[in-house]
Amino acid sequence: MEKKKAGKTHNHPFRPETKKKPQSNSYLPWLVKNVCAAAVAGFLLFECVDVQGGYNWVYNMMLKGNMELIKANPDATIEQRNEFKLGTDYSYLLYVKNSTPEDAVILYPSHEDFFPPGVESPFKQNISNKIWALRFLYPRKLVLPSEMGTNRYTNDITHVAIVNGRGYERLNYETEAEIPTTEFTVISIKR
Amino acid sequence: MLHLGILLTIAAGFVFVHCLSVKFTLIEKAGLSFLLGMALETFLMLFIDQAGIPLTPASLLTGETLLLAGLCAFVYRYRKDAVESLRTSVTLSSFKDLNMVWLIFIAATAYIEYMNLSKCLYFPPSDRDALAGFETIGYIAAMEHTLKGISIFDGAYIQGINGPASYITYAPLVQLCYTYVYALGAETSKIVNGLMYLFFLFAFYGATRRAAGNTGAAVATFFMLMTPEMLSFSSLSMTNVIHAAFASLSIIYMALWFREREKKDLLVCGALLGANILCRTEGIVFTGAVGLLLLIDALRTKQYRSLLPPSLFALVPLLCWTLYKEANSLYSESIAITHPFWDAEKAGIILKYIWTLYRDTLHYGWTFNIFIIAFIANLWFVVKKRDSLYLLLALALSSAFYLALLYQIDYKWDTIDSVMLYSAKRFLFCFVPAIWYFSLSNHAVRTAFMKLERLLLINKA
Repeated sequence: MEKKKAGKTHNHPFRPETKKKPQSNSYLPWLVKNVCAAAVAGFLLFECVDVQGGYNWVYNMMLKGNMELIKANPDATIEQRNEFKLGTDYSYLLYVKNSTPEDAVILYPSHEDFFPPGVESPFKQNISNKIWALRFLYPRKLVLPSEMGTNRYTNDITHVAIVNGRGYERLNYETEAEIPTTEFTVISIKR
Repeated sequence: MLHLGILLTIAAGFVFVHCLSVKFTLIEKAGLSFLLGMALETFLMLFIDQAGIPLTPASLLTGETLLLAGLCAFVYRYRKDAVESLRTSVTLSSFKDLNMVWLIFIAATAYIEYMNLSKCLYFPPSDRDALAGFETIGYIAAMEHTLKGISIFDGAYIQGINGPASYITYAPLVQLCYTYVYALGAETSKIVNGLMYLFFLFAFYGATRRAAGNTGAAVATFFMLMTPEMLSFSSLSMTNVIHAAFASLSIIYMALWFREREKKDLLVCGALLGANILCRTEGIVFTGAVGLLLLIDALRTKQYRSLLPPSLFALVPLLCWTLYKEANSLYSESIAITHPFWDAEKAGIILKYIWTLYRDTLHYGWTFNIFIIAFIANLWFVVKKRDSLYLLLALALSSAFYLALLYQIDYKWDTIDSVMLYSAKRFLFCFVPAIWYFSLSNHAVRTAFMKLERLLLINKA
């Protein structure tokens, strides 16, 4: 079965070889057979999507759910679409991006700053990943608190990113009068 | 500019397929065009980058145009055959083998893929592995016009960049695809994932219909598309589904080679294996499995020379990528255990998780259940007439190599349980299309579908 006769080449080896029969004048038998077969196939197809848990999830939850969101927001900007998916993480990164120049070197919050022990955080786990954050903050440079002294840009830091009220201690000046009321902010380093 | 870049890529891939052979069906040529066009483009980008030429829109489009011109010059001598093959592919008679069952499954496939493509293009990349790896590398490489020297490959800036399993040594195809579209002005990289999967569906259908017929191929394509975990990952910016497209198609074309013994299938199999290894390093398991079977066959038939071109297609990209990494000091701490050892607990953990995945219908739908039924139904033909034997051997060998690979990894960046629980489910994507191909193209099922098609043929009316 694997090997076919050497040298025999054609594009559709599967195509069934049907004996030519006299042409009938009516397409009705063909139509009836096809409609019946299609009805059975369609019924089985819908049934299997309905019965099988994975197919059901994919069609009814994932695809239909996303299409509803797309149809409800057809003109959403790229920022809005990012917010649909990334929520507060993206809001924070967008805020930092809009608050700093492109050549900024930002002292970025640590994982503990985003997720203080015992406090429910609005962020997801990935926000503290430096490469992940760089996708949105590039060409700004990021330095983590744990990299102070070893990162190439340690001495070039221009801004400190504050989150959950944490990070003020990393500024090189007192900020008592300048503490903002928002949950997060970015403060320039004084030179 | 982005549209021009995409069109040039499709055109280059389309002409490249003609360079391999003009005898492929139109649907195969169309399906393979974007997959192989993108693989060629990224391969070219490695050379442009290594030559020190910035990866700017001008250099990328010029490179792509020159590539297209070179391919056209190569295929020029076959122009009459190429035109004839295109002309005969779109005649009305080719629609006479179709029937309403085929139509139902094709319509359902088109509808599902329409929703999937809409989702893919609408939402920007948001998955962790993409944003902490491929997506960001591609984006920054486009902004800095280089891959080898991008700022996030600097160990003094990104600490741990040379640590175990670091993205610095990830095979470059997907990252460079993203670089290509970002450099040409794309807002997000999702156009790559969306088009890759769309063209893959055409290629899969085109290849499967040669062995399973129109209706069988339509059923296989629909159920392959509906595989829950694979469908949901197809619209993310991950490498797994793109890798599955290359790896599974290479196995399918190998099976077609053993079935029809046409050189064109061997060539395209080699090209797909080359792209597979540029996509994910673990693609070596498929190159190994297919290569071993082809070698055994060559030893049996003493047809060694026919193996040379596909071997070059399959191995040169790997060689070039290895040299590129060496030349630019792109390295990470090895996670491979290179000596043989026996750890019963580790082997047990891997087998336990893989077995659980094979039985998981929530992630893979009926893929493996149908496979078992088709395998049993066809067992007599496998044993007596060697039907689909090489395909089954390729699946078994690549599975065994994959397990061996997972076993030989030193899990020092993460726990083995975590890798097997969260990542291993994506490793099986490569097998899903090949399994659906087998399930609908084996002798027993093929005969049943042949009878159905004869019953429903329009020219019998």
